Amino acid sequence: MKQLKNKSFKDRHSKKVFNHHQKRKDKHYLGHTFTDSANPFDSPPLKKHRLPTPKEFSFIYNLEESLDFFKDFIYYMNNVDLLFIDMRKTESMTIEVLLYLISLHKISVNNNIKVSIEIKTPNEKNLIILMAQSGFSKYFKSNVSITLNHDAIFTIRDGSTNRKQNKDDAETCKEAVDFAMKKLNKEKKDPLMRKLFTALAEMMLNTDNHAYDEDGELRNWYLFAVENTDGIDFYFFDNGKGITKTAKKSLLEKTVGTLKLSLAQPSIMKAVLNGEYRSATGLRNRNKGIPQINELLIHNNVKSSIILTNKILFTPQEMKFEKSSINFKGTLYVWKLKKEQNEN
Amino acid sequence: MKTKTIKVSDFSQTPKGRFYPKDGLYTGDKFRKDYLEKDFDEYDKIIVDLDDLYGCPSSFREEAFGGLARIYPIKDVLKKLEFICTDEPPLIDEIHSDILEARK
Repeated sequence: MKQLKNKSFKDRHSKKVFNHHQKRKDKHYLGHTFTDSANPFDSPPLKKHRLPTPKEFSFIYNLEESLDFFKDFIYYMNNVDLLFIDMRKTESMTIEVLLYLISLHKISVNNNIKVSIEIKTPNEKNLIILMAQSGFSKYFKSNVSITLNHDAIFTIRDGSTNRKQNKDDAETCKEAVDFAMKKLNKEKKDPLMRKLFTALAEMMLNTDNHAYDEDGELRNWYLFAVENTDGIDFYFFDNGKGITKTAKKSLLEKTVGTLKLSLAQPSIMKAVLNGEYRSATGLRNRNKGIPQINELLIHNNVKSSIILTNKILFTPQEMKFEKSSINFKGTLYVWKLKKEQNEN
Repeated sequence: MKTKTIKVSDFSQTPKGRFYPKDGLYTGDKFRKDYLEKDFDEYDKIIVDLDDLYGCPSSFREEAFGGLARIYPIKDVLKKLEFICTDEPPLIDEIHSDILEARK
């Protein structure tokens, strides 16, 4: 009886509070939604955070600061209800950071993380175009509304969507090669097109077979390409463990207590790309995939290729490494297939 | 001499991966079982035509041809298989390496 009385009181009181809120709901002050959390029957106040993107938002040109942003992004994605990504001070940006944001958003959805992410777009028009090209507005609330030449874009594809649709990943490789053939006016048997197909196939296989532990983490790769004046830019990445961590683990399992190996990340990376590193099975017939990827990245008709994995940014054509103090969880490949210049 | 020609493109123009169905629909082990192993004892010479493909990833190649050399003696595989690849001639040498290194 006492319980019933209490319930009745609570119901009456809640109704009153509800009516009070109905009068005040959606009240805005200078663009900020008013939040009243004084009443004990209200849900707890929303935890919000505003996270500004770096002035130069790019893994390629501003690695440390951009990785630092994502470190914070992952933290706040897991710890607040509403996250504002403020890009208004960003003056230059490359598309891979946007694609990486999209991938993290997909992970948050997959893990049922209830965070609402809103984007304040940059002021620069060319950056807004970049955002529209990346397919950003399909995933985030933002004010990007721009008409694009969709013919120039190979929209983002991902492995988990393929799995849901029972689509063979090889079909996606074919679509990407068809896109490149059309844009570069090349045939399927062109050595560059064949290298593109094999490299994409090996990137996807590497993600599926080595990038993730068997712990239910969303196994996924992402592929995106966009045509511009001097060629086609390709972006492929996953959110897995990263090449050097996977290789290091295998090397340690194989050699612990017996051999002293140089396990510095650049050394591991060089060995993996050259095919000197063998898997934990120790079989010579394995691990030919990454050297095949490298063959594409160092091809004469490819430029600006990079690999970002764990704490290193590697430029295959120059064999140069840039180290970072922050870990990039995953592996990102970026490369440009050059357009042939007309000799006029 | 009994000879058979197998066009890989009849199997798929987009072969990829080692194991069916984990790595895809048109994998190296599937091609080996459905085409190479099926005809290996019956024919003296098997000509494998690698033209008209989008590419031939190492994972597919090694499991198809290297995999065959893990079932049959390496010398028999090298003797019986012949390859055509005008689209990417160096591929033939790579497949020979796959066969020679198959058991290492």
